[in-house]
Amino acid sequence: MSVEPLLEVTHLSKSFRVHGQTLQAVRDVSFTLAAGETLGLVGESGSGKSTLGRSLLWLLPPETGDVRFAGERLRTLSKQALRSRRKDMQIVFQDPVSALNPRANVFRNIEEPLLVHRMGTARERRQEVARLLSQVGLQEAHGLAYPFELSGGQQQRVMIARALALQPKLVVCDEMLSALDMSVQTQMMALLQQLQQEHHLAYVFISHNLSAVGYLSSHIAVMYLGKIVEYAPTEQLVASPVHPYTATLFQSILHIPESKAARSALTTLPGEIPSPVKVPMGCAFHTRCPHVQDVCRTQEPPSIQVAQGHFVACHLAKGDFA
Amino acid sequence: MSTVTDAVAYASNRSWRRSRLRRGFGRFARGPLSIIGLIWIIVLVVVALFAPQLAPYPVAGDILVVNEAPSLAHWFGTNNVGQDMLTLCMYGVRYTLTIAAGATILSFCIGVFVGMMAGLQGGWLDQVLMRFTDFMYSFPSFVLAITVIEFTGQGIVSVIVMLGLTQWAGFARLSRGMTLTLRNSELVESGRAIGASRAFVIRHYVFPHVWSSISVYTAFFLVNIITQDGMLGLFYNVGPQPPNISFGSLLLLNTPDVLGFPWLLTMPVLVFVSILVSLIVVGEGLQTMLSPKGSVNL
Amino acid sequence: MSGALQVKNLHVRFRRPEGVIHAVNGVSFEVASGEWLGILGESGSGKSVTMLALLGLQSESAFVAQGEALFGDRDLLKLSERKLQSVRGREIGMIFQSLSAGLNPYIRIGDQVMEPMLQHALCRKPEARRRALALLSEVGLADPETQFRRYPFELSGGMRQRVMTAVALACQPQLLIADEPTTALDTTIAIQVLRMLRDICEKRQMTTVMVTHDLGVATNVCDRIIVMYGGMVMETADVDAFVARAAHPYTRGLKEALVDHRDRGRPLRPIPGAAETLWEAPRGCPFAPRCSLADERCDREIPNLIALGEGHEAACHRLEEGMSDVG
Repeated sequence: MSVEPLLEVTHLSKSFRVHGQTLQAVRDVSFTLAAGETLGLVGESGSGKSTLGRSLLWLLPPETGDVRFAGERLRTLSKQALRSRRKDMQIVFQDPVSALNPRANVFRNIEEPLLVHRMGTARERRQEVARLLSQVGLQEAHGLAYPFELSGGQQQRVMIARALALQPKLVVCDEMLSALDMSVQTQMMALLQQLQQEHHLAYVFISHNLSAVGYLSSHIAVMYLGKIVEYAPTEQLVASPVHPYTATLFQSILHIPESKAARSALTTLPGEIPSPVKVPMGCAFHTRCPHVQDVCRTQEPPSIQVAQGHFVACHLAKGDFA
Repeated sequence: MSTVTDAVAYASNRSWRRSRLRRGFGRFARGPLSIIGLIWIIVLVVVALFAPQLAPYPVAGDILVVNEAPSLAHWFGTNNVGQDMLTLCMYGVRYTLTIAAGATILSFCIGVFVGMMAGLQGGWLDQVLMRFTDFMYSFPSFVLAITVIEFTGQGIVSVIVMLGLTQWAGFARLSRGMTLTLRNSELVESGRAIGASRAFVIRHYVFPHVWSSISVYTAFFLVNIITQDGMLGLFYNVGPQPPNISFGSLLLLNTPDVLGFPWLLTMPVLVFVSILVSLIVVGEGLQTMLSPKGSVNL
Repeated sequence: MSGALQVKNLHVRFRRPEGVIHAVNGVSFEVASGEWLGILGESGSGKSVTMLALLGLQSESAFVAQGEALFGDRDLLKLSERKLQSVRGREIGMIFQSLSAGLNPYIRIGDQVMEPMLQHALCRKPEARRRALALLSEVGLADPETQFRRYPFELSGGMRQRVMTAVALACQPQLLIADEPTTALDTTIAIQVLRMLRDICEKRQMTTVMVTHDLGVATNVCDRIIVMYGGMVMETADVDAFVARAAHPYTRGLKEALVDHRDRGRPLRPIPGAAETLWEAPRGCPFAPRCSLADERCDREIPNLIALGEGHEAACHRLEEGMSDVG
């Protein structure tokens, strides 16, 4: 395994000042992602997953830690160099209505990244936008529409086309399904899959929709109050979750039952995620953990490897794996 | 994987082919008042541009036709020195619109620059610029304007400069507010994500956003400037040199004779008010044109 | 079983500058006493509009063109606004999706829970206070005395949804209408709220109608499910029939489209296309443009609900024709 990963995040931390208090959004996060793979980032709202997505793209520069993207350390890049690096790393936002330019039509919205990087002649750009439109399942006529005239699914497709215009290697998808209808969500997942195969894209797929994450991701990182508490290949994680948070999170998915008798008992975690302004001492999860011990209240558990590529930050995990 | 192709209904898509501007104008034109206002303003602008050519009589007046009531020869009547009131009104329009346009452009440039700088930079620069703006807002700038005009002398340019330099605070506040709402928006973030430079983001996202609400404000600002200029002329006798004449001084000159010859007051006042009213209805038309969906309220 | 609510041939339309939207086009259904009915559909299916119209809460541009809604011996659609007010909140409780819309930000939680009791003159203030405290603890808020004095902004989304439930239950309504009560919540919190609702409904033997777009939620809590599309009922089935024998191509498509980690490697089979705004009354099956089984009859003839079994009906021409190879 000497192949260098596309994305390597090391000890990333990001906090904000809110009314004189410090909100610790991301706390010491590290992971790697290979080209063509998908990392699912899950957690409740307030877990810091969206901030992590923006920090690793350097849209919200982190205070400490670094990101190595295709061998380059983003922290060392000049503003200019970072801007041209952005061709390779893109983001799709949750709400395309606010992320697309309302005063420009679809064509112009998709062309914009090409204009910014002064790519191609006007004619070449027109052809490229037409190609992108058809790639994301839209017609050329859609190019003339303004974003607000399209349905939610179509807007999200425009957002994807805009992100793809620069032929990136990595796309961060930030809750891009949550505003869509269920039948449209599946269409969008199929589109992501197809584009990944065609362009060997790597995704960081941020979502609170565990079903979608479980289907799309090759690896899953579970976040709680700014930390990755468990990270493993998807099969490994769903088959044998170690962290109590991961286990209950996946039990909370409401699958379609076999029959009325086999329905979910609707059991889940008690209580709610604490405010990231007041992260609990010790293991941040101890306030809701069903297996809490004394040590959890005082000491922060280190991340240990419990199986090949399976990392857990929990005092109860047995870290014998060498 | 052809499943991702949308079944698009093309019937409704024809409207996309019309440009955004034309669709926007459609909304503007929905109110007939706005259209009438716009036409009247265009007429007034033409009058302003070509007043010397269009005026039926020379400004100097004809001593033989003093204080004549409106007639076919003198539509608006004449005053006590035999000046044709229609001619005077036309010159009044010329003068007023020049002042209004000049002072507004000046205020606009200063205000939008200050406001966008403050909003984009934030921090201490924002604090300093906005405190200065507050100072200009609350300072009796009118008094300042009059004082300075006393020194620099009467003339179109000095009136424009004085009004322009003192009235920009509203533009600054508004554009700062609009800039701030956009600064942390997903739109700007999405611009940064594609690698756009700061200049690109300002030019393509921030300025159009600021402009859409400023343009409405501008229409109402013109009303304000015209009123102020009228007051300068009427109450402080500040105004241009002949043949130019402001509506304010027109009223001032004629007041002694108003009781016997009402057209000396009614005609200029009607023209003056028509300018203000048409600007207001155009402003409201602009508002409906720019506010519906599409110009997202961020 | 006596029906708690009976809706017959409901039509609701919206007036828009561009034309008239046909949002609900002949919806009929019955809610049995004590049952938990789920109304499942995507945006634009008319599911929320249907429920709002029954309560006279539809937006100003909407109007009921036709239909009946029998609640007891009264037709809700014919009641005056004043009479309807005495039904809303007293006999029919409501919970909404939007966590901000349901509660007044300037009024303390306790006063908001007491308000319907005082409004409908059910009891005096001390008694209302006592009942409100009991309600707050019933909906699972710890330390109701403290919560009583707090303002909505001091509560999390999950807690606000609980308070809204307490307000809805204040007058002990026979019927509870919940419009997407868990959509805005995190999965874990959504389950907490669903469980609270289920427990209360069981305990009080309350009839519940829940509008949702989430198949998982609907199949795990409802007794019976109505699937809506294009302002029409596509299928209605009790949960057992729904999970085992869903028949309508739309319902089947929805179930197919839902995937999770167990489906990894299996290709996705989304329903193509998107729901369209109905600018005119549908002439055929509204789902036909997206249906892989549609033929020209589906475009020109509105299908009727046909019985497929005990409490199981679907509106599809192809089913009627005895197609067994659906899917």
